[in-house]
Amino acid sequence: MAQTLKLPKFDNPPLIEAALGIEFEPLQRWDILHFGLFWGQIRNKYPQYIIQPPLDSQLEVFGESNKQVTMTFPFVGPPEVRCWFINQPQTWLLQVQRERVVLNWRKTPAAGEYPRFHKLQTRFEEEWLQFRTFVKDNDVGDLKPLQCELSYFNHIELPDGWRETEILSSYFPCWTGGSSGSFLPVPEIVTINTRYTLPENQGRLHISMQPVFRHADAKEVIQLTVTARVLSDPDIQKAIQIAHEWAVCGFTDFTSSAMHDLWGRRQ
Amino acid sequence: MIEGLLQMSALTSPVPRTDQTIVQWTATTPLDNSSRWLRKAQKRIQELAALPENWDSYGSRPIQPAAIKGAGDLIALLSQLRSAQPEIFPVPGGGIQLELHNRQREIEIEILPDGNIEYLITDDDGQMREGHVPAGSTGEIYRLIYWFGQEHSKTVGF
Repeated sequence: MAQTLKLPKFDNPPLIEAALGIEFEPLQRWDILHFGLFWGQIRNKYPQYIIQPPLDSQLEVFGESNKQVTMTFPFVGPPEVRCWFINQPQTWLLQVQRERVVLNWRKTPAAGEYPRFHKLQTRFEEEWLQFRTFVKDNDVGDLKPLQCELSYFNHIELPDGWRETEILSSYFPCWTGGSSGSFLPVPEIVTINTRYTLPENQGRLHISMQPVFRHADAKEVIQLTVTARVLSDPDIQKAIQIAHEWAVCGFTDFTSSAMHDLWGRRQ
Repeated sequence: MIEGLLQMSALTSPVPRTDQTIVQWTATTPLDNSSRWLRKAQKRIQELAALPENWDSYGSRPIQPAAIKGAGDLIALLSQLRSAQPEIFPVPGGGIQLELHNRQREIEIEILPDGNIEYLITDDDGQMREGHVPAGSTGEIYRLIYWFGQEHSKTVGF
């Protein structure tokens, strides 16, 4: 894609969360104590922490197998964990593990609307720089980025009768709900998972539509997840830019013009 | 005995792997995968969140936001870990209590109005132990639930 690509913009997108991260080669000398040491450096910004199970590797693989694989790195030692570091209004989350750094923003009553990608990117680059410095200063290993990942999580409120084909089709043009006969009733659940290869195998775009139960308010909503993974270029910023372009354009293409109007599309 | 197991668990209990090893922060469960009790439990917490001042007729304040959030997170965690269904009660003063029972063990978890957690466990031999967990520190909660699910196993017990 050309760098001058003008991306669609929405005044009121259904975005409830965005996550930008980098997966890198596992740090050889990373130990559980480093979580605490690193937290000591960022604690003023992220005073709360939560221990989580680690994220699986999600490296996009091209070639003979031509399929996405989940990589694991078995070794004898302490259990692998991921650490969540959360800011005070609970709008920003920094996720750290041996081979991953991810920054999440989420919508809350306090946070208001999405601060836009530029702010997410700027804040991520600050955290990434601090992590790189920490890794270097503590001789934890060589930081070799492998892949950049940008995810947008959108929640679409469900109207009555949302399972009807016409309504889902009006949201997502790719869904026709068609069948060759008249035997099947209206589906109880519809989920859509698609993936697209970026030019020159730079990475992939994954889009999934799935009805979910949202814990915070016990509501059923449609979650539209758009994830762009771009294999690391020596230039990480370029990879982030490509991921952004694909995530935004992919979201726009996947959803209908009627929904764009509802979400206040400006360009 | 519980003391010894507690010390051991700190060394041996892994953080359990769950299906939620994704980058998403906002807690959701796919509708085709969400247990009925999870939905029921989350709705119960929403009901508790709507309790008015003096809901117990003894002057209790409403259930506090930190307790509501803590209980919601805990319910989600229990669901991820395929735990048994908890019973959920409001606590005078603004907290929420979750209770889990199986044939051998019991856990009472109280999410305090400030989000901190206190628990009381009863083990296979009827021994009881209390504990305190700061808000957001899920490691000990993982171990509690892990211990609860490991019936007949004391070597990795809590």
